[in-house]
Amino acid sequence: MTVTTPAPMAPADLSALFDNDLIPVIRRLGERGRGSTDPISEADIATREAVWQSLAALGALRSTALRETIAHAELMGRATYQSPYLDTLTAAELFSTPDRPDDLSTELSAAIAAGDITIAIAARAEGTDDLRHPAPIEIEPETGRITGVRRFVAFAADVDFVCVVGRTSTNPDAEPTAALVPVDQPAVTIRRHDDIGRGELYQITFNHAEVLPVGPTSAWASALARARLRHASYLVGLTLGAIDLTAEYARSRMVFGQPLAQFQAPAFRLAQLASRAEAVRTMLRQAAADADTNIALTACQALLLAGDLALEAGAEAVQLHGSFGLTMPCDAQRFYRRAVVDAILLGTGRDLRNQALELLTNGGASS
Amino acid sequence: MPKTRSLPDLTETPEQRAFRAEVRAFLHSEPVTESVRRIRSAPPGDEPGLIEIYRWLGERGWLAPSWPQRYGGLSRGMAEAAIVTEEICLAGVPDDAHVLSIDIVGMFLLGVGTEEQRARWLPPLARGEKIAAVLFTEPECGSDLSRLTTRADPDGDGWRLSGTKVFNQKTQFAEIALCAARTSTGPVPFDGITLFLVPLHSPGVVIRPVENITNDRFNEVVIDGVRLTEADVVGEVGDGWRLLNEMLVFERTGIDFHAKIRRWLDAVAPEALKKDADPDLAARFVDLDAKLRAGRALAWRVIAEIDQGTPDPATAAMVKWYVTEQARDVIRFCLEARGLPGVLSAWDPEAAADLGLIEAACRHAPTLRLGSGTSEVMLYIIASTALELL
Repeated sequence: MTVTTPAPMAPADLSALFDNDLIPVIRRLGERGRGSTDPISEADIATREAVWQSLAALGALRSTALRETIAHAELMGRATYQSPYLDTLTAAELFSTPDRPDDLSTELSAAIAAGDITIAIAARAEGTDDLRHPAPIEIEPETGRITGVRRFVAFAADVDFVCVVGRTSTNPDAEPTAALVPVDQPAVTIRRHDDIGRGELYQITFNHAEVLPVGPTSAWASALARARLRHASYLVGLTLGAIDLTAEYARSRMVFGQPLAQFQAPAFRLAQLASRAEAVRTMLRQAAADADTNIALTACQALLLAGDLALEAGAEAVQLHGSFGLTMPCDAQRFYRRAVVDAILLGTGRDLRNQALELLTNGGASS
Repeated sequence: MPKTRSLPDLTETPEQRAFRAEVRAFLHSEPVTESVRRIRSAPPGDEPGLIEIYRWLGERGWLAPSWPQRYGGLSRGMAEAAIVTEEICLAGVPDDAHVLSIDIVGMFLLGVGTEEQRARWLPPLARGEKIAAVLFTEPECGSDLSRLTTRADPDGDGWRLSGTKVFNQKTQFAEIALCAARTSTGPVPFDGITLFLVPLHSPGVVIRPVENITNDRFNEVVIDGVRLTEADVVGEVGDGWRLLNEMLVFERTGIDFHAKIRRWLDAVAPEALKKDADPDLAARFVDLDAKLRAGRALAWRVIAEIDQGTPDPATAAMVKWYVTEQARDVIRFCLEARGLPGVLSAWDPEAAADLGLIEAACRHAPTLRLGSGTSEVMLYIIASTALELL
């Protein structure tokens, strides 16, 4: 890794990367058949790498600032671009806190910015775990090696490191530890989940795996809240993408002698989704811009709304495309399948409601 | 590249925060809270018009803070105006006359009125000494104003105005009203509509009450041959349709709608969030609270867009639809949280300490989805302009 001091630069503009020509390609990257254990095609691997290097070249990996990364996440959602981008940012935040005086964070930041390394977050032993209180992970006191299992880890097979977050004691309120584990070692085994999104979710097992320096992190709660804000923005992007796709189809599809778009029932349903999406989108941008926002509460509430919205927009996209919406060539089903996973990836509605309620009853201002 | 609606800066400046704190402190001072209590417990039919709170706000330049100082404002931005509106509604001060006088008629005059019209009407409106109302809706046209039939027939160097306007409010207290009338007829219904300032204390104007379920009555205003001149025209002759559509953004910021609904929800928050509260009720509170926060963010975006000179009717329609859509759910929630005591009016001796707030809210809530353009009209605007459907 090379240590460089990044100069202040203007926010990265990704509009050239996520444009109308490239989105159809990006959208289908890494698609697999149901139950398939085959790796993705060489061409897809190369395209994924090229997109990642473009992100680095455009400067998208330089900053974890919410204002910028929330906008990026929305663009990626709109394109249904799946990547280790969001997790890598979260890991970068976890390892760049002031309580880590070592050189690790500087080196990591530089390597991430250059597009040289990618990181996946691994905080769940079970899919039902409460992300605020990551499951225990066993760390050998003498060697620092770790043993344990993590599930629903995105892009575990593609990344350079997995950032394992876990408690080292049985006390559920204990401050979690974050350990950076190189994936490419015999002590790490991975298995891809076969899920409805047919994306890149893995179970990963550590058996006395070597780690980079570990230590307690007080930053997990804040990193989780920021990760949820970005993820909510990704979901708003998914919603907007599904609406765009469906509106486009409705303008061209003729039914009963006129374009589907001219019927009030479907047009109004899309207008409702678009309005809800703009509300959540604006809420996220405001949270990113306003330092006084209660980030943890906004993160729970925005993700709750965005998750519902992405799911509804995906389902509506399928509905308004008719049976064609269920078929593989149609992206409507892709929006739907991915929303099913992404809507609850960082917490189900029940989790988020309960967590928001705790924050509200502990003095969250109402307006 | 897909269409992406750009967002303005949504942060409140330190000066705006300080202004809000000052306004809020005043609205929570004893004279104001006592005045609100008197209004809320007034006998049925005793409707608030020119209330003393408006005069107190006007003395400070706060009733229309975005207006130039020479017209009684503070020469500040739309954000300050929205802060006042928001705080007024959160404090339970009736805001209908304020919205009509300042946000609609006043803003029309400020935008397209003549200097003479501004100098004559803006200062007393900003001081809270006069009320201006709106005469748009007619018996045969509400949402579709292009079908209006009130006529301004040529008469020498001016016009004679005749027609019937309905569902208008505060006209019984108002000095003047902004009236949409047809100055010519042609094949295109949007053409030939002109806006006039009509003196309501004129022979030929009859105002009749039309009782409704809310605390504020509707009026039917029958105008029979009222003489108007060039000096009464607002904007250009025949340009009314364009002006109405442009200026409706000011009425649809969502700031007032949100704050009213927020006040209802917050009134039952202690019941919903107490330690032994029903978990289902608490979960529903979180949902509604989240939606109102998102709606408020969108409302402030509309304000920021207006302040930047880039108002977008589609965003305004979105916030108007989104925020007012929460009213039904919030009301249902309030009734579940409070139970039967929630249906007691302010006039029942056993009404809750908030003076029948929920009962009054149940009667007021339907107006939010109807006034300033119905929910269906908002969806039509969004679908046709933002999504290019219909």
